[in-house]
Order: sequence, then structure tokens, then C-alpha cells
Amino acid sequence: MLAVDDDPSICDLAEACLTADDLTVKVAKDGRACLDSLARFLPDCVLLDLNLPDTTGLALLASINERHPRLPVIMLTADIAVDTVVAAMQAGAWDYLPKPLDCTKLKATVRNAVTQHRLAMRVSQLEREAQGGYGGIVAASESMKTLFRQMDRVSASDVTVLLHGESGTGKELVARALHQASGRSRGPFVEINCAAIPESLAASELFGHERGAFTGADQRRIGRLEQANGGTLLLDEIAELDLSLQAKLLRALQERRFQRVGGNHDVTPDFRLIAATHRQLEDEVAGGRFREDLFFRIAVFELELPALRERDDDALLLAEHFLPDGLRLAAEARQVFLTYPWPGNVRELQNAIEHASVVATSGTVRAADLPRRIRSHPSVQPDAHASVAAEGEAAGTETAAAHDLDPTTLRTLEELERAAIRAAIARTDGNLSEACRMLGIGRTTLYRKLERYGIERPGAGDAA
Amino acid sequence: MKPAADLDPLFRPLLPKYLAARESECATLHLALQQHDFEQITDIGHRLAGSGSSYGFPAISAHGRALEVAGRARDGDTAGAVIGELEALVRAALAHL
Repeated sequence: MLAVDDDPSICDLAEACLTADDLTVKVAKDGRACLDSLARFLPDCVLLDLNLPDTTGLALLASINERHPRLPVIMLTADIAVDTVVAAMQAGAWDYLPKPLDCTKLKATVRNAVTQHRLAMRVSQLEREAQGGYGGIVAASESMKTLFRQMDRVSASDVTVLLHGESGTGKELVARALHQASGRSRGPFVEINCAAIPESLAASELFGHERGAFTGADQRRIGRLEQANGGTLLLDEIAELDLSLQAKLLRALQERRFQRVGGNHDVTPDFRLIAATHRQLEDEVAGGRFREDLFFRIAVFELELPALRERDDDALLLAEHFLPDGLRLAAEARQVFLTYPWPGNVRELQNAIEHASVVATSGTVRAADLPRRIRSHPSVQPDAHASVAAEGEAAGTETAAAHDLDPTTLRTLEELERAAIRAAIARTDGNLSEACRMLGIGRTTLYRKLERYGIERPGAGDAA
Repeated sequence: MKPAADLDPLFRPLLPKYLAARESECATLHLALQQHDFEQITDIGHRLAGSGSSYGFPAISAHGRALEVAGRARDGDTAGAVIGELEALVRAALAHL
């Protein structure tokens, strides 16, 4: 829970009392610290003093209610006049406690508030699961359920989120879902794809410009950061942002203010930032292409979106979801959806369904109706395993690995897996991203398996 | 001066820290009075009114309320007298720890 009081001695009492009840107590000394704290984590309850140095408890209560309508706020007051209590309850306080603080009453009131908040969060989580996903995201796999649980933790707060995932994994959908589940859902959701804006226009696009700022600027333009006021800003493909703009963006995020291009007065929009990229930002930082300070600024809470090949049978679920009414999938087409690795992820699958819907001549989509690239992929051939081994032998450079994959020799699954990893690394000249794609596993999984099988990570020795 | 007998046992370990802070706060109050900073006197009085009884010292709360009233009225004489009494109360409480 979060205790907001400018008197440390009252916060000490609340901490001593509630810590004994197994609650973690964080402290904020004024309204600004309270809102900053709520932007980073969402407690189960707020204990709020009516008198604060920078604002009134009632004004702060209104701000908290606006952003976190389900968060119970208990008002703490030395003044138990009826009109004060009525004003607090009418402003949306969950309950109030008079000073002097009574530990027994404090424990009971906070415990009730915490229980109610946890129940409300659980109900909303179950509602989402009953609707089959999060903000319309179709998924049943364990990897996506893990993602949803992480989204639950972060959605209600204002914390900056960095989404990482391959192209087509649904980063925009996740960002929209986070916005919808947040206290800012009534505000705008503004998206900008940093890879799609010409470098010369990027500053104006982000920060806006004043009339006459440059040739052609015949009227004032409000930039995306300002458009997102009161809502959420998604900076998609943030790694593609030019280094000089990264510096400007960092300054704007740190100072929470900036000037439009050609302007001379500050604008101070209030938005929640979500950034997304398909690149490994740590690698971009190491390569000098992305500012480390900006990375730390945006990577407050990182969400890894699983590739479709890591989502169990979700490909089939999605295929049936995207399939137009009146069409159904033949058994062999269903098998293709389950075995093809979907390097283009959900976007590729959606396009494949659109293609098949046009090509299918009856009410059934067959494997032959799918794009050639998919139906001719080795992974969907009847004897995919044998063909991969044969392909490996033909490559010449990976004879030992290919021998390990010989389908006529019975080996344990672990041996086959080790051999497949070695073959993939050899075939991709040590490019782990490519190897992951070839093996149909994520980078983290690959690292774990490399360690497990004692296979040296390509380039790992160079760092020493 | 001893804390109220019904003070929650969980709060007792906090008493030394609380009283030490009040002792140094008395010095702050003397300085504020010298500088005629009645806003600070009012603020500190308000906080003392809220915290004293919570720590089992209703007399500190009562003096806090008196300070708050004197501060609002910019009544330096009363404030000075209340600060003196408060200082004595805090020292007596510290002596009983």
C-alpha cells in the first residue's frame, strides 16, 4: 500500500502497523511524489492525508480516481467534522480514518480495501480470459497467458513499457490493449511508426511546429506527443529514430516539457509512453546506434511478445478466427498451420488466410490453397525430418551434425536437439537470430539450450 | 511524562525516534518564532496535533493544536509560551524512556 503524508512520524506508524500484517508499505511525502509513485507501481490501497504541502488531499483523490478508478483510497484526517468526511466520501474516498491513528482500525480498514482491490483485479482478469483474450488478442497458449499476466501487472499503472517482439507479433495490439485497460482509456491512443517518417520531418511529427518555423510551415501543427495528452503514446520501431532525435526525445521525457519546432514556449503534455521495437535494443546500444540513457528511460517495464512459433496451437486458433464465415479448414490445411514456423508471425498468417479465402473453390480451405511459400516449406512436407537431414548433408560443412540427424539411426530426443542446434548454428554461420528462426524457438530458449548442451555461443570467446 | 497505557505495542519501539524528532523540532520552532515565521509554526503545530495522540501523548497533540491556533493568529507571546511547555513535555517523555 502507499501512504501519502508529509509527516514522517505518521508514515512510520502506518508502516509499523501494516508491516506486522504482512503488507508492504511505500511512502510519498506529497501529491507529486504520490502520482510519480503510482506511475511506477500500482498498490492495492492508498492511505492519503487530507492536508499535503503541494495540494489538498481532495484534489489528489480526484486525480487518483481519474487514473485508477478501482484503487481504494482511505482518507486520513485530524479533522473529523461531518462536512470534511462527507466531502471526502463524495469525492470517491473508499473510507476515512481519523487521527490519532488506531492500529487495529487501520489494519482492518486497509485489509478490507486490499481484499476488495485484489478481487476487483481478479474479476477483471477473469472477464478478459472469458472473452478469449486481452483487448481482442486471440490466444490460448501458455506463453501468451504469461504475457497477459505481465500485462495485468502493468496495465493499470502509468509505467513506461517497452514492447519487444518480431515483426507481426502484435505489438500495436498489445499497446492498444494496455491503453484500454488503463486509467487513460478515455484519452487518445496516438501511434507513430518511427521507421515510416522521413528524417527531415521527424522532429515536426513528434514535437509539432509553429507557423513559419520552416519553409512550407504555413500553420501551426500539433505533434504526436502533444496529441497524446491525457492518453497513451506508442512509439513504434523506436530503434529507427535518428540519434539527434533520440536526444530531443530523451530531454522531453525527462523534463516532461518541450517546445514545438520554431516555438519559444514550453508545452507540457501528460501521456503514458509505450515504445516498441523488433530489434534487441541492448545490441543497438552496444553498437552506438541507440542512446543508453534513452534505453533506460523507456525500458522501465519490458514485455517480450512471443513469436507465433512459440505459441503452441495458437496458429490454428488464429487461422479459424480470421477465416471468413462459411469457410472451414481441411485436416491437411490445419496440419500446415500447426507445423509451419510462421516467420512473419500473425501478419503472415492473416495474409495466408486472405490468400486462401480467395483461392479456395469450395467451402473448404485445403493446403493447396495456401501461398506456395508456405505449402512448399520443408517443415510442412510429409517427411520434413528426413529432408532437413538430407539438406544438411548436402551443405557439406555440417557433416557431423547431419549424421546426428540421420533418421535411420535411433537417438534420444536430447541428442537430436543438440545436433539440430549445432546444425542450425553451422548453417547460419553463427547468426543466432537466423538459427532461432530455423529452429522455431526464441532467443532465450536457444541460450538456455546452448548452456544445457555445453555448446559454445558463437562470438562468446571474442569478448574476453 | 509516560505514553498512554493503551498505546499499541507495535508503536512503542518508534517512541525514541518520534521524541528525538520532536526535540529537534522544538529548536526549529524557537527559530521560526524569532523569525516571525508563523506559517511554519502553524504547519508544525498541525502535524503535532495529528501525531501526538497517535504516539500515546495527547498532551503533545493539545500543544500542537494550541500552536496551530497561535500561529494562525500570529500571536508570538502565546506561541512562545506553548513552545516552552512543549519542550518540557518532550524532555520529560524522553527521560521516561
